[in-house]
Amino acid sequence: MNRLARLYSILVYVFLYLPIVVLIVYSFNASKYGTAWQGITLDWYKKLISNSGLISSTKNSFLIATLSASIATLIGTLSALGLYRYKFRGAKLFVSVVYVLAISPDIIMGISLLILFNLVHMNLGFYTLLLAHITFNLPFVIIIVISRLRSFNRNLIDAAKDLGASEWVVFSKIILPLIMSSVISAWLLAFTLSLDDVVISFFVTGPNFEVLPLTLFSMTRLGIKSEINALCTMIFGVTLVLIFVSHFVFRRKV
Amino acid sequence: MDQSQTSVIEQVPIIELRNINKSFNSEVILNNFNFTLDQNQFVTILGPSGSGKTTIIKLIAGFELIDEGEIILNGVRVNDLAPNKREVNTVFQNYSLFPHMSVYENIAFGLKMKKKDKAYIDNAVRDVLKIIKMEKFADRKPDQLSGGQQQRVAVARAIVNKPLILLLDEPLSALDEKLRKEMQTELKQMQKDLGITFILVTHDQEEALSISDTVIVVNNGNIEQIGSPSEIYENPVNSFVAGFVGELNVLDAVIKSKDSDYITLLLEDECLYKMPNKQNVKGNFEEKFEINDKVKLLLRPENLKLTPLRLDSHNASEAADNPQVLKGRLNEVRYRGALLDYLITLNNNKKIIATSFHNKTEGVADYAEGAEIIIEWIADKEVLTK
Amino acid sequence: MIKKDLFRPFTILLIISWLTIFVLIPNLGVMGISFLTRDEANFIDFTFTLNNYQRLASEIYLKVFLKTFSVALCVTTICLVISYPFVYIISHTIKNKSTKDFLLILVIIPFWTSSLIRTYAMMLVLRVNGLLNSFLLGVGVINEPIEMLYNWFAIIVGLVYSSLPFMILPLYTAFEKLDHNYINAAQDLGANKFNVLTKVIIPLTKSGIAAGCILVFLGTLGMFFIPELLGGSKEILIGNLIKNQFLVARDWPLGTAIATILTILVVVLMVVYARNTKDTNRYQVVV
Repeated sequence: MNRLARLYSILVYVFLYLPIVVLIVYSFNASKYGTAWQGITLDWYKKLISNSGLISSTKNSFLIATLSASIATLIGTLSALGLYRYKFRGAKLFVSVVYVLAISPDIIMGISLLILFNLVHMNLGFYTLLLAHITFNLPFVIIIVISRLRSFNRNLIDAAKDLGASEWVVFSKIILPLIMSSVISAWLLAFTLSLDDVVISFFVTGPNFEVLPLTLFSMTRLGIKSEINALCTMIFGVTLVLIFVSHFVFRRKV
Repeated sequence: MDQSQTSVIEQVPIIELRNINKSFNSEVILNNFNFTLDQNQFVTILGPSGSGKTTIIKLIAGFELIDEGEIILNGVRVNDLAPNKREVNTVFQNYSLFPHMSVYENIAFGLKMKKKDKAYIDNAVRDVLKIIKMEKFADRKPDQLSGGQQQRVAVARAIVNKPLILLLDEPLSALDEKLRKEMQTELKQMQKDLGITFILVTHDQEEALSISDTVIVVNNGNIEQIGSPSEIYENPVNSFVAGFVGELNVLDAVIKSKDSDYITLLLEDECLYKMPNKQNVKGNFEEKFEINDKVKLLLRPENLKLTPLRLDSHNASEAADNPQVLKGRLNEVRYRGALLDYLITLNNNKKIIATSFHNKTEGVADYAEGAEIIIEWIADKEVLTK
Repeated sequence: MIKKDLFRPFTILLIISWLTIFVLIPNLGVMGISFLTRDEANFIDFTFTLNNYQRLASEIYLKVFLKTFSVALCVTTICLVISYPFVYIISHTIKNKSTKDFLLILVIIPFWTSSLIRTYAMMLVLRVNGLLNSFLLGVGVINEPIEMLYNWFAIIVGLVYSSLPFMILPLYTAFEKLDHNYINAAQDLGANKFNVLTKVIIPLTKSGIAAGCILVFLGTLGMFFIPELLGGSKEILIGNLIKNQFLVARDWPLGTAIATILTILVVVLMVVYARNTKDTNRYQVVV
């Protein structure tokens, strides 16, 4: 590969990673406002762990992420299967809507759900947040599972039926195992999106239920502090773990 | 003008491959490969999958670089020349017509790259469209064409550039039988009309035999034989070539005696066969045969002559006495339209095939399954090899 | 038997009810409210009015729309210019499949990371005593630290930084789908590297380019926290505008009017995109 090309691609990677590396490095910086380098410390991490507000935010985030990912994956997989198997009027429209939802700016979904909850006089808090997260995760789950189903070799199903398998057997013993990796991948993506979501949560959560990204957001608005660096580094670490898990489970295509 | 002094124009061979070595990941694909081709030939490279035949044309086109050796195109050494600079064009196996361009634009592409002017391009493209009989399809896109039409456009796109050599990588393999035969005829005619050397790669021996001037048989990166179709078919140098290029019966034999005129073989433990010693003739007998050598006698099914052994007829006793024939039992007659295959088991359980034309005017030979058969063959049509 | 018969209406019902409750009704609500008036106590007063849209047609708001589109366009262009050569190099010149996979994962890691975190990290780099300034001072290019944060420069860099993976991934998919034989055919016909790029590669990766551009453009339109963090709350884009109406000014009708315009724009873009791409390729963007 020619030298210029190599240099260019390395530069792009540097651009992508430099800020993150700086972040991680500074999370160990003993200086409080992360200005000059003053030696390594784990103080900020210790502070984080003892900050009860942060701990409860984190717990809340993980709870919502797990629940919304699981429910969204369940509903989404069923929907994708339904769309794949049954031709019904409006199926195409439905799929188009799903794609539009997936790429629409989050802010539209945020305020539309806010209005919905207001309409039914629902208090903003845990349940509204959960419903909102399920809603924004669903399109991604559906897209991932449907893509996998579409690349499915129909001959496998025909072969199974030829050998006497019933619909249920075809589903449970052939389709399900083969799409399992996509389902898991979809779950992981939903989990991550939920953990990271700022915009939608911003609109639909109440003061009694804090989630991590929002806590982080309010912290960052106040300026740069080393505790924030530590917090971000930890969240980034969790994401890394999730990616590697996802890649090894889902080794076909990342 | 004095006929005897007609000057011969020195013709440079259109291509020479000298001592080519090519490996991939330490697996040798081509081993000391050599051949030279004259101009204006239809050449086929024939071989099984994995024989290296596709690699050869990739090397000629420049998509692969040789490890060792030389490629000389029309007298010019082109080893390191990039594909876009070689005066060679390729018809790809899947045609690779640019999907975003029309038929016209596809064909014009090479000429555009050569910066020919608009008028020239238009004329050339229209001319070639006439040759492939697709004038009306100029504005269609490739995905609107059938397989056969795409193939024609792929050929047109290549020949419009008037290359020194046209390389065709199994161009007809995706077409059905009938279409394939039509295209073979068309390609042959095109080659004659244009005078460009065509090098076609295929694993289909029938295709190779029917349209080529020269056939190069390759196996495992080596050239087994180069010759005209009839040479390859009738005088194969070894059993690989013989077996690859047509149906073959391989009889085991031991050399019992030989002199300057004849060799006597014990065939299949049964028949003593005396055949002319052609050791001095080029072709078959490049190997030296000694007494007691275990050898193989190769016979084409269509060269076998069958006669039923009728015990009551006069040939029965003749047959019993004649050591020059083989005897066997007819297992099955297979109907192949214009041909009939006779599957025979010899007395030592070896299975052979005889083929004859199913010629209604001469009457069908009356062979019942299970009948005993006398097998002879046309002298001079056998091939002896190790 | 029963299972099969129930499954079909069940899934269809599931799909339709989810769509209705969480997508159709809320969005109708948004559109509906945009035609109502603001009420101090209850947010909305059910009086029909076109006032909101009229106000949006005024110069101040039009400026905001224009600014946002320009920023989105700028960010999209920069992302495309940076990403295309990058993807070309990775996809085209690297032959080893596992190396390619690894390099792709390296791109995906930022994609999966919270954009809030990445934006904050960018703040660290751009601030006055941050990495970039220290480096430039150290090397001697500048004598005093430059204000790289809390201005348009920071916003654009931050938006590009956040959107880059969204351009890279669809482009990568398109490149991988490109049959190498087309490139061989073009070379065979005499095309040099430049011609191969412009006449074969770019036209045949058009779908990836379009997909990437749409993802980045739309993503940028709705951003509010990136401009806020990196611009220091000084610059107003559509996203900030909407957010302010809902949480600060409590003018829901105005906010929903802006959101409605944004939604219409999204739908229009999607329709244009769909009309111009072949069915099979259209949605094979990222996965």
